[in-house]
Amino acid sequence: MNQPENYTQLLQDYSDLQLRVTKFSSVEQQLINTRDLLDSELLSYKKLIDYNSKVFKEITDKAFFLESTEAIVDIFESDVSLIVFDESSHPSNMVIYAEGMHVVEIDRISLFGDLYQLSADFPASRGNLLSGEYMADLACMNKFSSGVLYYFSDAEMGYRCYLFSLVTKQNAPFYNNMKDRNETVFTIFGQMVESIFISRKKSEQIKKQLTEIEKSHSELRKLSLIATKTKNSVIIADTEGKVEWVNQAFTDVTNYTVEEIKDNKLGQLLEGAETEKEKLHLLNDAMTHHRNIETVIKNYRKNGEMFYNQVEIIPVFDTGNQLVNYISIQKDITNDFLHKNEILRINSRYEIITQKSKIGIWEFDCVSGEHSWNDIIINQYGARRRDVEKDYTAFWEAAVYHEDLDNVLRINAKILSGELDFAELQYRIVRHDTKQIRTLECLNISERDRSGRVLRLVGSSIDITEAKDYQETLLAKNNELKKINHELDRFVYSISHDLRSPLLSIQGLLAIIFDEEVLSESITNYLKLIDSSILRLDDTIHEILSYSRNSRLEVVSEKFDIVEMVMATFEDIRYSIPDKMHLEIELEGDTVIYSDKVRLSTLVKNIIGNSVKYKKLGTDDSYIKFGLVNKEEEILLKFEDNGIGMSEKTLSKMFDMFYRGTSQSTGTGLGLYICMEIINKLGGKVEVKSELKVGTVISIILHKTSEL
Amino acid sequence: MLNFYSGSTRVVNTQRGVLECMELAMGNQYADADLLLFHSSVGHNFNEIWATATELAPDAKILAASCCGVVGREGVSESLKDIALMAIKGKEFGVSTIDNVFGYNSYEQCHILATDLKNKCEGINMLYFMASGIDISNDECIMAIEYVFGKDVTIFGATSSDNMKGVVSYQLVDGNVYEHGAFLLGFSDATLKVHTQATHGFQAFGEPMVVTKSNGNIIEELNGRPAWQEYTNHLGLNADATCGKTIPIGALAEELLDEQATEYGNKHILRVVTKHDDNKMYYATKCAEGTKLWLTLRNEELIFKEMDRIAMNLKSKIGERTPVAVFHADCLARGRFLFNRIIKEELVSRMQYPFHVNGECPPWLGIYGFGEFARLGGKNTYHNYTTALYVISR
Repeated sequence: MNQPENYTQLLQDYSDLQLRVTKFSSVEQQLINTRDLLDSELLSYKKLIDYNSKVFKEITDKAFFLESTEAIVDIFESDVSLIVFDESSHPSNMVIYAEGMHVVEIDRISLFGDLYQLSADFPASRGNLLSGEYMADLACMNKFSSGVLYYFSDAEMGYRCYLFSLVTKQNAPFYNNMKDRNETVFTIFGQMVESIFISRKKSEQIKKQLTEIEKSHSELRKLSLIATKTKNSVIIADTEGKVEWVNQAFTDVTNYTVEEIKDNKLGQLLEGAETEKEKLHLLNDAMTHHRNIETVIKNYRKNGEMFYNQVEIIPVFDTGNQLVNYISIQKDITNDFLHKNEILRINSRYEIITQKSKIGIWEFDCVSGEHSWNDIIINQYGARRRDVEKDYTAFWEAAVYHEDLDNVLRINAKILSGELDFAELQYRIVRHDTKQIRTLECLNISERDRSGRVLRLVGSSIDITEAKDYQETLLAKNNELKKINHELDRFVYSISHDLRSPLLSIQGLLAIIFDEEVLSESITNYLKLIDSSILRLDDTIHEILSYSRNSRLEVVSEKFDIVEMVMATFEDIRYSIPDKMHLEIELEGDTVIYSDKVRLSTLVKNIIGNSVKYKKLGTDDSYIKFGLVNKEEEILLKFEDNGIGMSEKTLSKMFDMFYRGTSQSTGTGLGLYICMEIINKLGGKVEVKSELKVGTVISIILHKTSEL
Repeated sequence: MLNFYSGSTRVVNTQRGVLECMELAMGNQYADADLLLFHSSVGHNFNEIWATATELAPDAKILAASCCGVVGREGVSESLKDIALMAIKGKEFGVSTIDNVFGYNSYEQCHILATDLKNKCEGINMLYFMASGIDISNDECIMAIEYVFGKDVTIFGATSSDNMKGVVSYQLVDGNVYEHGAFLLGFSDATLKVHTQATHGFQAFGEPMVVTKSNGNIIEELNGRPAWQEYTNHLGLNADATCGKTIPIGALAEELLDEQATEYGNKHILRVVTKHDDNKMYYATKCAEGTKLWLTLRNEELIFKEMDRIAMNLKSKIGERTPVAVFHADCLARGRFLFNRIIKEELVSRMQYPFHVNGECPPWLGIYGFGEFARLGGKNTYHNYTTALYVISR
């Protein structure tokens, strides 16, 4: 009976034992899980330490935050990590780093609102658990089922930084919900991030300062090098202005060494008789008030030589704004000064010239597009400067007379394109004020660089309206005069011919009367008087014809012997007077010349004729001396007589038309006038010397003409 | 001829994780890879894995499966951010994939899968199989594949998992991420051979529970009582316990035939329950009514001893051939939820060392998943709670 009971009991005990074993397995598993959890905890702290050492190496904030986002996921085994860095309190400027989700998918405005809410609901600088229920009410973070937040800020530096470890609703089954443990560890992590970030910022500041110091050192080295090597004088003085150091250039300019100048007041040794007292006062005043000053002053070298010194004094302050030094940079600008004065003088003259000559000057910078016009050109356009300055090109194009504009633009385009270097052009403009049309004569010139690119256009402009009008009037008058002269010549020629024919007829008739008629003495005398008058009138007409021929006909050169011509002419005329007269000839060079034979014949006949006509009466020693000098390029003809000579009054008018020296003169008054016309026509010169009762010398110089 | 390269890492950022694996595996030659097989924890985004890998190796076939942790030449890691890679160069392989593989249609879907691969690629002499580890009848998968390729073609591989939550697992093929998918990778390099063996080191104890009502891989009643309630009661847990709680301690043991037990080093083969629907338990294989299921106890000493035994056994089988790659599937319950890190690393070291070539570990891709495929008694077999090694030699 007991056996079955015992068996049942045994079975029950066995079953209980089995259950205890499996429960033991369950407990054992819990222990294993706890061990794993502890292991995981240890691993988390190890990861925290790893993060701490790793993140210090990150150079940029971006790398630091990216490393931190990965660390959050890694350490907290979360689905998503999010770090938001906000320096500007504006959604679009927030810098977001994420792991486990894409930043571009984040609605910044919603997130910005969530952050504001979180800041209000949770304290800073500690881990805060975020439940799914809490986040369900947030606009951006409602997709998360749990999370933990840590944030910190610095009002002085103006930033806020939020760290999140989150689990999405979608992946929640895989992840453990954030628990108190996470809150604690996240506090540690957050504080770590915060302190590292602050350290980074401080480190950045220190680095920046170090960089600035290094930069300062570098600049100092450079400045030191510059101060030593520069050709300008550099002087360093203490706060009282006493010289502490000068560079070699100072010694080169002034001949004072450092030892000589040291402890002297700035500039003291350089003063001299002509040093401007008022400038010294200005320099002292600037130093007293710790101001920069720059001026040019007359200083003296050690040898007493004056030089123009361009002086700049700069007070140097420390970071506390305390004066520590003066630095003076000086430059001997004597040559520059003199050159500058010379340039100013030349410029001044140039200004005067342009003002007086009324030349407008303009310039166009092709690179900057800037124009400049001087006042003269603005006046030429009848404008005020403000009219022009609005838009030079538009103003000018509007002012150019419409018929001329295209041509001027075309030429300017050629200059601008480099096709032309310069252009002289005339065009009309319409004055801005009076609307009067004016004519300008312009010169436009291009300036180019080495590659040929046009850099600048410069030009001048002269208003030639009046000159052009005058020129045109003169031209018209000249043409009119030429026409009149031409007509007059024709008239003289034709009238001379027409007059001479009847005179020759009368002469012929008189000759017949004298040969065939027996006339009374009185009639004979009358007829002789008529004959004499006809002869004079014929001479006059003959001379008028000569004049006319001379003016009408072209010069025709030919070879002939001038001496033969003079001798033949003398022979023809010498017997027209009762007294004896002889011809003397002096020769130098060939007697054969090449010239207009007809005109020279008229010339010789007139001059010899006058010598014969105006010889001293009643003497037989009258002479004419003919001299010939035949040079390489010119021929000198000299006619000298010992006739009655001429007064100064007569001498001055002897070549005037119809002038006769005395009332007894029987000539027409045209002979010498024609001679002068011939000499002019042949391109020669004439010189007359005469003395009353002594004689007259006429010297004629003729340019040789080519035989061919 | 196929060449193998491996790399594994634990990196939070998915893109960097992929790149790091590829660089570890192939240096700067990764663009030349023809096949990339990733195992990744569920903390990584599988679409990003595909996008990154495609960018880095545009011509490669890309496969991936989720897991609870990875084992590589670099060691073992079990976190949400693990990723491991076996990269292959060579053309002697084929891949087929299929979606919607569940317990009730495992045979049919795997038949389609295997047929497709058979049609694509000739001369396949070994198969790497990867399927979802949740609600699947793995023995039926094996049957269907064997039906197409024959029983002599070794099937090795694993079922994918999450981080032991039993929520979901992922399979990635050519940019498509599946939750109940499977892919079959067939190798047709005749120079290669694969040797497989699995071991668990657990001990069944007490009286077995008897399956009194079942439907395919779903056990509805144990000992005449609602299955989940009875199961958790035996484990000393409440009925509201999750699979995450039951998996580490709730390995169920089926009795093996004697000849299999000798090779296996244990009289029992283990099974895992990865899902329950109220009281219905989703078993890893088909489970007939009347099947006896023992609870088990883990024996750390036995685990190590068995580990050494199969390693040496495989080494012996390889003989003069050279290991060119080792695939490795481990039950997720044998990782951090059984051993601490030091012991686990020791265990991995002891399983890798025998296959070193010239002092270096060959390319190694290990996964902590829900289940393992390895031959037992000359047959393709599905295992749970084991360490399964697949040594490919040439």
